[in-house]
Amino acid sequence: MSWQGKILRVNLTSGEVTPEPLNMEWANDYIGERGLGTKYLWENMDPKADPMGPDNVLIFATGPLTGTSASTSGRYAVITKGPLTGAIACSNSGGKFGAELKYAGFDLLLVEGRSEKPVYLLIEGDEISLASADKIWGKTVWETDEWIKKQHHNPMLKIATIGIAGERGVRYAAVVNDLHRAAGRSGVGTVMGAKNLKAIAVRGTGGVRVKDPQRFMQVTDEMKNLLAKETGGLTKYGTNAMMDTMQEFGGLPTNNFQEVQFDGYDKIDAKAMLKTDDTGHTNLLTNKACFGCTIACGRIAHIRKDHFTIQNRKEYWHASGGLEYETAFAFGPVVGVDDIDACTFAGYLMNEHGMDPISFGVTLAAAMELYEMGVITTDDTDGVELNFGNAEALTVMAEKTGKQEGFGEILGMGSKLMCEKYGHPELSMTVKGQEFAGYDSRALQGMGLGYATGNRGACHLKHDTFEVDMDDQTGEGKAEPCKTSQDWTAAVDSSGLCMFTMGAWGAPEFAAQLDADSEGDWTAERLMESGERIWNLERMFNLAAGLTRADDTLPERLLKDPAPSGTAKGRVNELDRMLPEYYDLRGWNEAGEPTEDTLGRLGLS
Amino acid sequence: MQVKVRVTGHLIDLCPVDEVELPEGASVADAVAALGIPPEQVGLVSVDGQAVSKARRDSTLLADGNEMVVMAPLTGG
Repeated sequence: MSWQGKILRVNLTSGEVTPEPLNMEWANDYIGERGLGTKYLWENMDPKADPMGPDNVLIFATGPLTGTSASTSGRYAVITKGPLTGAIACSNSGGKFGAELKYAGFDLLLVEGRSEKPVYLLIEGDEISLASADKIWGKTVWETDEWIKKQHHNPMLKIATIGIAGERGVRYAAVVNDLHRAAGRSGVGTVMGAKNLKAIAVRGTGGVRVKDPQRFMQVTDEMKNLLAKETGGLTKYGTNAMMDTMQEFGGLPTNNFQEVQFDGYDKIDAKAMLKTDDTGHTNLLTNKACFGCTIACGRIAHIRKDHFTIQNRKEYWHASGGLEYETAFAFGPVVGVDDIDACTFAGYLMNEHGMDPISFGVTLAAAMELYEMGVITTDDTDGVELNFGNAEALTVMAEKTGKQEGFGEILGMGSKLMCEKYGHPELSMTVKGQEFAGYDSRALQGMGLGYATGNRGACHLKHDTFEVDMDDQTGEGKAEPCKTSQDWTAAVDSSGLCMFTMGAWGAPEFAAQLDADSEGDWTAERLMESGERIWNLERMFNLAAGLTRADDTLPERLLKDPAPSGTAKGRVNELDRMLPEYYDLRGWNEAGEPTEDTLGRLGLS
Repeated sequence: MQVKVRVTGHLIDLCPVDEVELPEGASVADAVAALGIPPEQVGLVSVDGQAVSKARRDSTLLADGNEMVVMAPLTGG
């Protein structure tokens, strides 16, 4: 079986680290990673706890397929109560850290309490300890990674760490692993910082055992071939290949969602990344794969050395993580910037300081709108002219936010609290306090429903309604695919594999791999039921935390201001039409609470 | 008749042209076929800025000078 059968409980208050057997009953019901982490969270904390306090629990969870030879098997998730939303937070990452944790013998790390002084967790062979982080507190992600490897004379350590942003309370701080992969969303790094936990460094040499090795090799080989036929575009262009589609469609949020198309899109899209300029510089150097991945959608880029961002800063004259669709959106259209080098540099800063680019960009966009309205001035912004389109403002504010200096402290609050502070909550493009990704829900109606009902707030990765949204720009028939894809995505997220395979693999393909890997008769039906159970348990956590139906909504801009252009010109999001149908399909009452029948059917009573 | 064409995303590798010659009475589906793009790789087609759903590709006829955009499917990112 590909569960290791063991978790590690880390009590930061007492300093104790205690291996425990994995609860296999829970693994059978919740699979792993997102689902299993949610179950452990539910059973180990009060959902009403302060997200920044010692009673919050922080979980790093792998899936049964993590670390196997299945394609895209490098995934792990961080699950906690989020500081942006007060709701459950679940943020997923690739790279190599997840597989390494599995090879160290653990399915899941459960971190509770709060350390009096900064520490990092070291898991190196049989040695498990909490060590002083005094010498790396205040250091960036990149400096921390280097220091820990040198300190332990072990370049094979895989490190997940927070940067300065997480230490200093930026509400959307990320956990960054392997230098530039991140559990980026929902402020999971903020919680890590509040616990005085700087990093987790892991070296594992144990490997994994699958249930039926011969069948597993056969089925995963077949799946890799299938994947190769369907994902060539991601390999060559990365996710930023979507930029020109969103532009033509008219769903590309621009200038804080005031517009849905952006004139400068072709200066920062996937083709622009591949273009060689008149000095011979090409933004994209190569692509990169996470552990075990045969897609390799990751981008490795570099910045022109004479660009204003780095011309006097040689420390940035190196290749690093490049633009993906969401970073290109968050540093591009939503703030009106079309400078590819500035956008790339902002991406570097997110990884270096450990921040979610989506939340940062959308928060900056709201600040720019406040500035252009005259609500804030250069007296507030440290003298920086915060107009839409100002590339220098983007990079200066990214750095100020990462280091929590000047106006960066305000931007670090996130869009919701910042807009409330200045008396304009309507400018905050958020659901439950979390900022939108790069899809305008006037054009993509099902996306809007998925945003509104998202358990971690606005999120584009917890459902998949793209196909039906593109084909029809009304709210008709969107509730069912939204609900079904939410359940399905919860199952995929819990398997240990990447959701970017979903275009090639459906439920039978995932079930075939999981069944060859793990004990139990895994079928497509069982996976779907597990996904629905996971979604409902997340919902129960949120209801217990105090969230209500009123939180399942969208900003008025998307409900009342028609899309000004594009294929959905004149439309608003039809949430009022979709939400009751969605609740009904879910088996929830009018208050958005699962009924007793629903809870009983899913074993959640 | 001549129809102007733009494609998005990875479809540029399948269809590196900016216009297509079609017989009078050709539909959107005919145009996609003439461009050599497999229909399952098309997320949406728009004609002069108006969306044409999958169900209407056969019945939506093109006219000389139309501007057609063939969009790749979205996949999340």
